[in-house]
Amino acid sequence: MAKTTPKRHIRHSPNTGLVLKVQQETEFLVKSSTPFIAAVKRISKKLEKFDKSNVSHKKYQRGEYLKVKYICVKGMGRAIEKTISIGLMFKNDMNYHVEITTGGTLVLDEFRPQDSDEENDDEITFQKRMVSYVEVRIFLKRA
Amino acid sequence: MPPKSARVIRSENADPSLKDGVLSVPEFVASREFEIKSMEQAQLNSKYASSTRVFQSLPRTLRRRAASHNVKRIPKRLRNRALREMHQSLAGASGPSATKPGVRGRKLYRLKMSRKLLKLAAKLRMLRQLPSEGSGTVRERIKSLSKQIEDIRKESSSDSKPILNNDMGSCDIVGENKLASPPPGRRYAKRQLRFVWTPTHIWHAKRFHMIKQWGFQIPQRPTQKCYRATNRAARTGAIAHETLYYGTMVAKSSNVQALVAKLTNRIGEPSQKTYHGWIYAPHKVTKGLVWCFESSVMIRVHPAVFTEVFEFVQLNSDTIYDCRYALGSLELAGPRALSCLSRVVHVENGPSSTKWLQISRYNCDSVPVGTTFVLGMKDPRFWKHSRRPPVSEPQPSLPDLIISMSSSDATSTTDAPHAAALLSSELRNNSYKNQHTTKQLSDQFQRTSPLANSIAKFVIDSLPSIPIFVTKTATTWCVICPWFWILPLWIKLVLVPEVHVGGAKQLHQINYERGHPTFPTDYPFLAQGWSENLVRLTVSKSVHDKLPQSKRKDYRQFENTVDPFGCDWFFLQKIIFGTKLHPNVLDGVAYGRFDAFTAREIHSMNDLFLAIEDSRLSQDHNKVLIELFDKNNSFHQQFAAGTYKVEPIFPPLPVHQVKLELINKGTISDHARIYRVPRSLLNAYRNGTCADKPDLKELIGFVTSGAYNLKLGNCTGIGCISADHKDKYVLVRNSGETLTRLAIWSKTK
Repeated sequence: MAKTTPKRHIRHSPNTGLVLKVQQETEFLVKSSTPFIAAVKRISKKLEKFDKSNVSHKKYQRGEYLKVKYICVKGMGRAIEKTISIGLMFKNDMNYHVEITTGGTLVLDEFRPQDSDEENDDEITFQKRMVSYVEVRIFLKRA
Repeated sequence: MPPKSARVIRSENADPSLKDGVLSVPEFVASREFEIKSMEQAQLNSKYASSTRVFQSLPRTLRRRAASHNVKRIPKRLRNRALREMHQSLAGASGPSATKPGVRGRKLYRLKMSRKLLKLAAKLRMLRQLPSEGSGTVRERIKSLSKQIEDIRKESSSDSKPILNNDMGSCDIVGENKLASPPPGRRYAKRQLRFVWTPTHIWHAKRFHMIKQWGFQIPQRPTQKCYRATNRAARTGAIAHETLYYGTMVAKSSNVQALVAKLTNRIGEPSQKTYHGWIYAPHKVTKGLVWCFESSVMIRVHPAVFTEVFEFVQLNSDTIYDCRYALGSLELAGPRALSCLSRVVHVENGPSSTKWLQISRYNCDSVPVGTTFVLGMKDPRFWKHSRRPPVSEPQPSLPDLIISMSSSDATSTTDAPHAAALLSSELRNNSYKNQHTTKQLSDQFQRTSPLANSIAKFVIDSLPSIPIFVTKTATTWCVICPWFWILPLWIKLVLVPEVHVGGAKQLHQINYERGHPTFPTDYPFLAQGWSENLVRLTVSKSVHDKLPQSKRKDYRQFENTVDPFGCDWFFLQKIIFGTKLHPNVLDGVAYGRFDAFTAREIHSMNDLFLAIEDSRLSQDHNKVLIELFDKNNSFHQQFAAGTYKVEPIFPPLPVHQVKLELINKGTISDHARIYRVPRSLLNAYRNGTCADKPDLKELIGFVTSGAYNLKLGNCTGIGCISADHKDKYVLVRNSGETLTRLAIWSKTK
């Protein structure tokens, strides 16, 4: 529908909440432009930090970090397929316990007049839209 | 005897337990025991032999300059160890410590005099009067102050009213229909004569590199390295910038709509939102903020163009107030900006406070530009610690909030009494009534309870509320409140753990990372940007010239006659119009030929370069040779279409302001050169098989700010290119380098 409208479509991020420090280090968001292997590497690095044998990251073995059970990989819309294949790679090739949940999230669309220098506030319209998303939980091998 | 080096571990190399092929078990065990013990000993030795002191184990941001001799600069949990180490190092030092000689002679006299001055100024402040000392010798100043006190004492029998309404010395300094005179400096007044110290000057001077520019002492950048930290704070946390040096003015007019239409070049009913964009006076001078409330218009612009805008507004309004020293501002960037601000700004219940509390719980980056709150707050210092405001129920989602605020029938987020208080000099002055000094504050805390987080509620309620204006700009949240309330707000804001601080340079970095140009650097087509560019060029040239001969780069071989130290718009304008004027010049180098008037005849490109070089001597450096492309200008239209004709006296070159992003690897630095891509080589550049230096006649522009963009993970730049360039690709080459990279460009918003 957005394609037929002659207005410029600005997509706002669905992440409207304030991200906590722990959440920052245990969440991974997949975009449709994220390269697959880069994502796998970055998630592996996150998992590695929680590895007990890793001496340099003692911070991840105490306090709030002790409660962390899994790394959460999220993707929505066009990135769903990629997110699932990342999850399956961790499940099949690296023997992690992986859980997949699906859901929907609210995003905000902004429509502005096409290529006009003098933008008037009245011409900007907002719309809500529901987008389906998938969440892959890769559980830590904490034992 | 312990080994010489703490790191050497003693061991028994010749094993005595093995004799004639027979192993003596007790001896073998004993020698291993010895080795294990000596290894443990060695570990301890090396641990204590290290010369690191406890404050060096702190992260850099927590280290303090005086920590090596002042334990109070070290976190409490580490103080005992620091004390022990200090005693040890003192004992280890050889010889008695030299005591400082006392102050004598002229130095002592000067100290005594300045003490006298301060005492007199303090006495005046106690009498709630402003010191009216003029410039002159110290003796003259002391004399005039004593006379002022004497006069007041004499008059005190009659009913003379004090000027100030607080002990802090804060009052509203405003110029009605004229420029305001800067606030008198209380301490080191002489140093503040030409460049005004803002109220946060002392705080910043300890932590920042300051620059003197545009009549202010401006915090430029923190002394600590912070390129990555700034990016991280702007992406995940909050970063605060003091922008007191920005100029604010308030105009009163019977026809607000006409004034705003003139300033913003936009016709229509002034909306509730704040306008952020081009300011016309009457031509584009800068980007700034315009907000109207009833019959008043508040305008905030960069100090470089303040007088220009002030004079223009003065012609088009009934009354104008110069509020440069009456309204101060700070800017916050990052998703947590509002969350952090709401922890120190304790807003009063009003129609807009609910919306404020609701929106401050979200990532505030996607809130539309221009969203404005005008609220009332109390002195932030009345609360010892920052605290999250209470949750307001029910909490709508951010999309719902944005939609409800953007609808035309939305309730206003501007509290009328506070908005009026912000715009009136008298009411601003009233907000300073009984502004507490630090001493008075600690007295209040003592009186309330040693454990209380805030001072007694009835004291808070008895004091006037302070108007505060918060608006979303393209990259930051801008906070405006009365000038002398910025310092209390700033002091409390920087104590919030998530808040980082930055200077003017960090603001530039944040804008750059989000692809927004920064005034004045990225606006070379405006007079201020032009002169800023010239200053930068001169500075980098003089830095290069100070290098020894062997370290100086031979720029001539890379740059020909283009200035290597900055953006050479002069050359660009001349080469573009010059090739149009002489379309049939040859590529090769020929002998120079001159006509009867000894003017160079132009037959080859080289002749053109040399002619441009010769004409530099007669260049007027203040004349702006480029201008922003305007689609309504007939010459610009012709220029873009390529159907224009040029006279030997060239008009300014129309340019587009653009942002660039490299397609492959590579770097972009400031004043990199931008070229047209030859059609035949486009694929070669894209595949990375070609990085050749393009021809100088392909030059179309320069990069004004370029660096590694941590937000995109790639090199990007902001610059200007000639408006007749159509292709979406350009080539970028740094000054003094041969490697050329392919980049994609788009116009900045």
